[in-house]
Amino acid sequence: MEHARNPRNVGVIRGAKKILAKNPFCGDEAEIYLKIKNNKVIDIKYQIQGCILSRASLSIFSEYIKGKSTSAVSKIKDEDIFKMIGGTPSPSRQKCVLFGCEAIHANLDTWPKKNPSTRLMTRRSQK
Amino acid sequence: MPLNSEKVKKDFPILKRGIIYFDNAATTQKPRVLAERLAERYAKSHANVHRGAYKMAEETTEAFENARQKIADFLSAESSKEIIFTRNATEAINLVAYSFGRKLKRGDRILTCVSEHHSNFVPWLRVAKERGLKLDVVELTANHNFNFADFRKKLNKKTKLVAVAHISNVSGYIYPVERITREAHRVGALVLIDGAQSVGHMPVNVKKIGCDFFAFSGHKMLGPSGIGALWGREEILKNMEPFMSGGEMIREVTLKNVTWNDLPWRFEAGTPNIEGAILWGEAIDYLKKIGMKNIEAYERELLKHALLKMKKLPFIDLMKMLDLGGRTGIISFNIKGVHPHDASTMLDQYGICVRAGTHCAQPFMNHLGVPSTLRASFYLYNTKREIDYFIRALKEIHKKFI
Repeated sequence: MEHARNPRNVGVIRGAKKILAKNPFCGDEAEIYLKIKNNKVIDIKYQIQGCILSRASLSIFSEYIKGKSTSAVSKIKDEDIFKMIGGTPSPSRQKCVLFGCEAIHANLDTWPKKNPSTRLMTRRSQK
Repeated sequence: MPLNSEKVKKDFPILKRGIIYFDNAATTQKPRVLAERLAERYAKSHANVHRGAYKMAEETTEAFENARQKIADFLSAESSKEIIFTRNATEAINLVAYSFGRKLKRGDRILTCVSEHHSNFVPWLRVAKERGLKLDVVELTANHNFNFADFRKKLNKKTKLVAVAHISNVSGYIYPVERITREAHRVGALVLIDGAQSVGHMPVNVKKIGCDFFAFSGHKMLGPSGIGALWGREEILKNMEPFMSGGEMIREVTLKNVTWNDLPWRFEAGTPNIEGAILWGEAIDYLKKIGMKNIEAYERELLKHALLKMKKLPFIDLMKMLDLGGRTGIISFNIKGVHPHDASTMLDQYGICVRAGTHCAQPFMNHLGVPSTLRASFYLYNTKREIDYFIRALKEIHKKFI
């Protein structure tokens, strides 16, 4: 709740890779800026228009991954993210928590290729 | 006799769960009689239809075709030949997109509306892309109702099909389908009406509307899911190619050739949803007993009760959809400052089931300028007391968030 009211790392990084994330279930959207150097997440900022769950989880997730290696970040599982936010939401709301994180994951896979995929959430969306 | 909702409620065992079910535009609950009839059928008579020459097969076929007749009568259709069973309204629309849409030629136009459910939008978008057709889209008025002037402007000699909803699943507004049909026929276009939100909520007479196709679903009118139908004018269906191929839809098959079965079976390849159709017929009997005019009047009463109360809440955004007349019991709204999904999760804690999201109408959401909304939709087993409780819940939720 506190993270939802005062989300961390909100903003824009000029010149950084921009990732667009969309939750098709409700139409929520986030723009995520990632700065990666030597396989390490140096900085992350984002702008989000979404519900409490999506705002809080992206805030918590962004704090968590800052400074971590890309391989460590890509190993984070859905369950780990639910733990970070303090519980597993009901099935219909899980997407709210995951859609931003999934977008980051999907892009880490294709890093450092020049054109990382912005087609998101196809990988794990059917649960 | 006016509808007695407390009495009606007793026919719906699921409501004893202690829920307030306001998501009837998505699907409705089922009266007890459906479960009873299903148990009865499985225990006493089940066989495939239109095949076996034994008694039980004949019984099942008769029950299945009886249901078709009930549905035809419910819409005042000319004949049961004009009722084609599908899985749902979506499949009924896709049938027309596939069988009729494929006959259209490059440069032909299809006219639909920005408020359409994806089921009456995406099939046309696809067929237009595949066939090189032009898809025209009717805009809405300032209060998000069907814009008839814009419709007339976009209708022309090239328009081959007009596809619009009878009732918007977002606003609940009843569109002027009779006038739309008259205008469309004047330029020689056929008309498909998506009746998913209208049948079961008001009397519907396809002859009076004058349209050429009418798509609707069983589960939105107390029937089971997995069964829907397309009503089509016989002389038009007769000249359309089949949708799917397989058993039932053929007359004769040789190694090199095939001829088609008569209507309506030509469009019903494979074993149909036999029990679904029969139970849908039961649901129609139930609705008829209560009376469609009564249901329509009662729903309007619920709408009025809810809308007048919601209008008074300054933190409720009704997005200019304030009309009381020409509308069924559907209200889309938002609680200012509260995300619709958070609000719906909170309402769930009060036992209130409402829908949050885009309602399968993303172009409509874009038009409204919101990512998503909440939607409360009423039916014959809802009560004013439930609405009062819902209003109290809205106030409490708003207080918690602000």
